Amino acid sequence: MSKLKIGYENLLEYTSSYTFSVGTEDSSNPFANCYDNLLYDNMTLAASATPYEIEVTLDTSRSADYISFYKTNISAAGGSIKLQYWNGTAWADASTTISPTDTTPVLKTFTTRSSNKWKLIIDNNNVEVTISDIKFGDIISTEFGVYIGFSVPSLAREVEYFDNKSNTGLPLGRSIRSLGFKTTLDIEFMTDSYARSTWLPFIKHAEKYPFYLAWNFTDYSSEIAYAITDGPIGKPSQTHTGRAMVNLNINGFTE
Amino acid sequence: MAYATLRDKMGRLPVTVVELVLDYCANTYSVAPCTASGAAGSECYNCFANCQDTPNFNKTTKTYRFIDNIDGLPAGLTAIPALESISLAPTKIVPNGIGQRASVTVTFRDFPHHDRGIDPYVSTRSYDPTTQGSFFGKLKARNPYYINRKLIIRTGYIDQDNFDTTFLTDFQARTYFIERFEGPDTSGQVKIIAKDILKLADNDRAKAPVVSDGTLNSSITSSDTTLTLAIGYTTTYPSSGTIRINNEVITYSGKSGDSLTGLTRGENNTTASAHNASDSVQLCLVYSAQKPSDVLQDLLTNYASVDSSFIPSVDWTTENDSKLASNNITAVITEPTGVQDLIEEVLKSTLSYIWWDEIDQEIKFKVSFPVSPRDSLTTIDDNNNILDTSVTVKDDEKKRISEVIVYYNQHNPTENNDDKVNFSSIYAQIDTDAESVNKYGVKSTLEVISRWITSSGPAIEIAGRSLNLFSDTPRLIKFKLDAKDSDIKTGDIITITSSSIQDATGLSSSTNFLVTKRFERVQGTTYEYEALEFSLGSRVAYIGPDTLNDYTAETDDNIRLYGFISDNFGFMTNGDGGYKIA
Repeated sequence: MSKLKIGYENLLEYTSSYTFSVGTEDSSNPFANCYDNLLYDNMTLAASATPYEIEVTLDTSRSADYISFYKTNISAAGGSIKLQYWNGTAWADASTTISPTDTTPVLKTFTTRSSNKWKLIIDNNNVEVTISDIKFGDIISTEFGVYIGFSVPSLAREVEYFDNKSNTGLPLGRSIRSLGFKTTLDIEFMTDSYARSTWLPFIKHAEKYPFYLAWNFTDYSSEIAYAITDGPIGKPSQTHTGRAMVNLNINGFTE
Repeated sequence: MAYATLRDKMGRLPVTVVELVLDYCANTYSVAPCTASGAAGSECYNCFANCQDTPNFNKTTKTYRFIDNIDGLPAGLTAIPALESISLAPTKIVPNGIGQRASVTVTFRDFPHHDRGIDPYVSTRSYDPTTQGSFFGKLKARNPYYINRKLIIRTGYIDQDNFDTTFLTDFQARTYFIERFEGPDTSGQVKIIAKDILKLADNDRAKAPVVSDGTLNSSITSSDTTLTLAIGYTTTYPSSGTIRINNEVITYSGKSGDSLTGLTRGENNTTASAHNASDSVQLCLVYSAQKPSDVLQDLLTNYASVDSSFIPSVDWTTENDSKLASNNITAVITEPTGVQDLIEEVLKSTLSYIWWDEIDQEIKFKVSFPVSPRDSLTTIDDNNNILDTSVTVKDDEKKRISEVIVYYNQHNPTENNDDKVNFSSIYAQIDTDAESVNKYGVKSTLEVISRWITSSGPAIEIAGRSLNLFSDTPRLIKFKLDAKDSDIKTGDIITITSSSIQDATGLSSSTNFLVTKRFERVQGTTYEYEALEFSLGSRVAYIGPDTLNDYTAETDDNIRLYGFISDNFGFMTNGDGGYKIA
């Protein structure tokens, strides 16, 4: 498998019940806001000296090996997020304690764990924080890495410039309108089995929801994009016997 | 980082947020004092239209926030990226009137919404709010009484070094009042149209005096000094006042039961006459030697329902007292008249203007008055401020005035207010020099027909002031400025130095202009302006101390501040234009 990783599955979507075992849920900005795939709303956690603990019970036991989150000011608060799972007898760490240092998207992997009970431990360092999106589940990779011509999301900035200069030519001001990034993911030599077992479920999700993309998780693990498909989704086309290629236009945010 | 600091940086990141501030109940359903007791799922939405205990509706506000879809917004900002466009028609002021009111049309894209954070009882509903209806469809249904609620447009800049959920508080806010809601239509588009607060004074919305519902209970002769009103209508009338019955103005000094007593018949040059039972008894609105600023304030707050918090009355009084100290006004308004018309009359009679300042969120009042030499005006020029190829200049010949005729001392307030023969006095001031064949050669007459002016003093004053300001054809200039200079607002008087305005030698001349319109052309980046030349035909100055040097030896500041004697042809010894004793 390649260094490119995509985190789209979210076990929180299989929540059958949850409870704030430590801390109190904000009824106006509840837990559901952090896994509804909308960045404009958020889960708000009031200032607390004790870390919040949110226990989630799924419909059935499911596995996960990554956690990601975005649009949170937890870094400014000096806080952290950790994922635990119920191993049958006790809570055990799934992820390490993640202390983001900026507001860029975060994706971390961990040893695959399976459980129907998971716990998010969020330490807001006694400062009110908000979190718009949290996902955890099974990460996927492509069979091969990115190809020549691929624009790395963090470098593929979409920016509009608005310049003003005076009647005598003196620069007076520049405004920037940042529209995130835009790039195309080319998948080539996709095997029949991969197309059916991995690509199709991903695309069914990506038709509706955003996902996290690590274009080279091995060498640039902090270059995570919060992405969504841009326009019609390409159809895999056969290039060789048992192999297909597809192009996926995506846009989103890396900052 | 402060708004202005971010605005003035190269590479600034402008962002606009639109807020709807709608009514919201502070109570919780079924919790005292709310006595509603419906089953779970049938709760209200904390809006008045669906309130189940209206006597205990506890009105506060809820802010719904929208933004366009851009990168880099701070986490924690709950602003829905449904904003499609903002179309602004800004305030445009005129030097003697109410001008053009501001309006804004905000277009949104409707969308499904989960109702979390909107419906306080979303968890008990029997339906799935995400799949049932749309955000704006539900918002409109829950808030049908949105008229005159605030729509605020906040413009600011993202501070990349200091993400802070309170960053909106430092934005520049422009406040409007919702007029109507269009949509959602089948394409999912929603438009909200809002205007400035002065729309409340529109003639079809506000009348002064208000219509009196009283009628005569029985006929009266032309000499009766008591009249009896039909039962039940006496609360309309104060204990003393002025009324109009048919074409007669009558004052009364007392009220007893259903009767008005102490009638003085045939007031204000009207004829005492007999009136029949059931004739209407209209209470008149009387202003007697009052400050124009007070009259305007009374009309706006008591007859147009403008909240007094939008009127900086101290500023108005200061402006009035410093420039209209001898211009107190008097009028008897005998029939319900549109408040906008009355305000226009007062403004024309005092050569003043009002406008809604959407940034300061208050109605401004200014008198068109020569710029004092002591005033320090903001100066802009081609090099540092005015944007490339943005200047257009034209002579606004329609505004030139060579003679002013003031009709005043209204004879009979029940007769036509526009009919010159209904006025006893006329004052005319003519600038014969301007009308001479070597100058303009044609007349341009300003007629002021005013029921508010009752003596010659104010008539002479506004005639002189009008001629001083507009005896030469004023120029109308349009230009654009970068956001860094956007502190210049509508109503400001500024000095413009541009190659588009030259003197006879070809040098750019510095000229004073009244900014009549300011328009944000490119979000947070470029502002478009219109301004009207606002200079006296001659120089105005104070009488100087006897320690002054001769003109050519004096400092520039003193030359600007104090008057010096010119030669017989109106020029100083170095060729500068002379001063004028006005």
